Amino acid sequence: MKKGLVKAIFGVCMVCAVPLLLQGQEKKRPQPGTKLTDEQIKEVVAPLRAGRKLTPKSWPNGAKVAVCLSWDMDNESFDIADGNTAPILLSQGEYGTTEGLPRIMALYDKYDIPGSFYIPAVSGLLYPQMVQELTKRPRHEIGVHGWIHESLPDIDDRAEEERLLNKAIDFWTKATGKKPVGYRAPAWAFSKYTLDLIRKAGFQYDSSAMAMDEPYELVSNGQPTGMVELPVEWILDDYPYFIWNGSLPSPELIFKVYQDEFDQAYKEGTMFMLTMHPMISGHRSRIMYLDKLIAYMKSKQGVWFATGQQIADYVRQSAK
Amino acid sequence: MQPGTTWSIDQLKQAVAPVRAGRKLTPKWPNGARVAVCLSFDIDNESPTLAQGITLPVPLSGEEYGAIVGLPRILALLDREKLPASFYLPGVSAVLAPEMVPEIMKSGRHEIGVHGWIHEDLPALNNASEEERLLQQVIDYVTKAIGKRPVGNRAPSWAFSNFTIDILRKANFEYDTSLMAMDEPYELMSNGQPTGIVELPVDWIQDDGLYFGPTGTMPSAELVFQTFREEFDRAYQEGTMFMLTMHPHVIGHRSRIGHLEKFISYMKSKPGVWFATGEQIAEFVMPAARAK
Repeated sequence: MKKGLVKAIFGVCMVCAVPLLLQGQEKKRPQPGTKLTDEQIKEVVAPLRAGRKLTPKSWPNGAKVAVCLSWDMDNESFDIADGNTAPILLSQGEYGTTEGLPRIMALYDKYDIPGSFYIPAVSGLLYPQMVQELTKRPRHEIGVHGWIHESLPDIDDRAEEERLLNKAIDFWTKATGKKPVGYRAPAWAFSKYTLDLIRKAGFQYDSSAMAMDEPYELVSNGQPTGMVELPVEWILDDYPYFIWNGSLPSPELIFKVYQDEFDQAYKEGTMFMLTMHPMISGHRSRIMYLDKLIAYMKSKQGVWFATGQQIADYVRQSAK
Repeated sequence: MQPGTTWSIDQLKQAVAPVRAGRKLTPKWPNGARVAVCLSFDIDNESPTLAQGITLPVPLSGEEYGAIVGLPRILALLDREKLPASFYLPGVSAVLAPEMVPEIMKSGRHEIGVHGWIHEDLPALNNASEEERLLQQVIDYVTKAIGKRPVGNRAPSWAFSNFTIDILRKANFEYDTSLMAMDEPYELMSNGQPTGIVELPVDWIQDDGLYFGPTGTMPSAELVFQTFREEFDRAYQEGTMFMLTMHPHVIGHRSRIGHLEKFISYMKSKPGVWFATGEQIAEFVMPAARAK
């Protein structure tokens, strides 16, 4: 569940703040990393590293920046994964399809832009109308996002992780008539098995890691993998800002942050990858700002709106 | 529990005595400047995560960003503006990205100080010999990498253990930049005696780390830089010091670096602003302090 993972990330990101509390209690915390040799340090990070930048000299038709407006169509999948089936909580997830989906489809139709939709298979199972609306619009891409938005590090079991991955791939292959090519880890959380499993499954690209702002090649244990990474960032994810106890639930301020990221991506000629959730940004006070942001981006010369698949295909071609 | 409620006056004084603020050290700044500004960067990257034994690939990738993307943007900005900065470096961050050190030292304007071996939490370590071993490891690493001994220390997470003050004195640092008792340089005292170490204080208000990130308190660069600007304005009015602490994997992001650029322009637009490294500030206040 995303909440659990955000808590884990809290431990990682907020190391600056935690000792402020610790100092009051002077509690011991195990710090195994302090005992590692230089070689061991390099070994522990080696499974997933950034390789070469893959931004091409120019995007198609001389475009300056590639924009992927993506949605993780989680709805209530991560709640059910955790065994939370409180009815009102589930209804908040249901909103993602009853209200969020039609607003998103109408908005993307209005601007005639494509989107990438990373969907837990269980959301597809619960909401066949969502699958219909997306497959009706072939310019949209559907990618894999877990069976039930499972937390892979918490499963910590290669065979079980693979079983759920294959179940999700089979579901979408059957539902859309073609094998999905893009992968996004639930909660952007890889286990130590994930990279191997997605390579084995033949994905063309991943969109879960964070080492750059532009497409790059994933390197594993010193070897290039040939896997394209279309990186993400918490800055460009609606979830932490808008949830209960979210960090800044002001759509105006948050969409300004997104715009600032876009402006710099445009200046640098790279990529802008935005991640949203229909049960979060599909709300009335938020989707209106997405409309404004799209209009703003469209007002600039040379902005290429694309799916993750299109971007990955293009960078792979250009890299040859 | 509240044990402090039962302590005698002597016990209370003893409890605070190991690290206390002494005299204010703000002098007349060089060339008639009104305020000293230190732009400082803690190059944490993967170190805090690895210290805890966390090896999750995606969070580590977001920290790898600090070396690949964040630092180059920062250095390019500082080059465009021709400004010096202080970089506080955990040894392990450099082990994983050794190219960062020559990149920083290339311009000749910047300083590298130490920031733990692996951004270790010293109070949690609670072990004097282990703390000293790790400090010595990073001093040796930086000395070898830059060709001279680092003069400035910043404790990881701005957290001193019960042993840190003595260990820092023994290591002969010119200055520390981890404490918070004032807004301006001050003399660091221990058990009633001057330590000879200059303190260039910090504050959480002037640290990007708490504001940004998925559990950040106020992840709007616009609002954060407004706060920084207000701190600077008051420092300018009072004629003291403005110490800003940032992290390449935080401030180096696209939606934030532009605000840093604007803020630098704002500070440069005022007469009498002295941009300096921690080393330059500490070395400037030391003789002024001794002359008094």
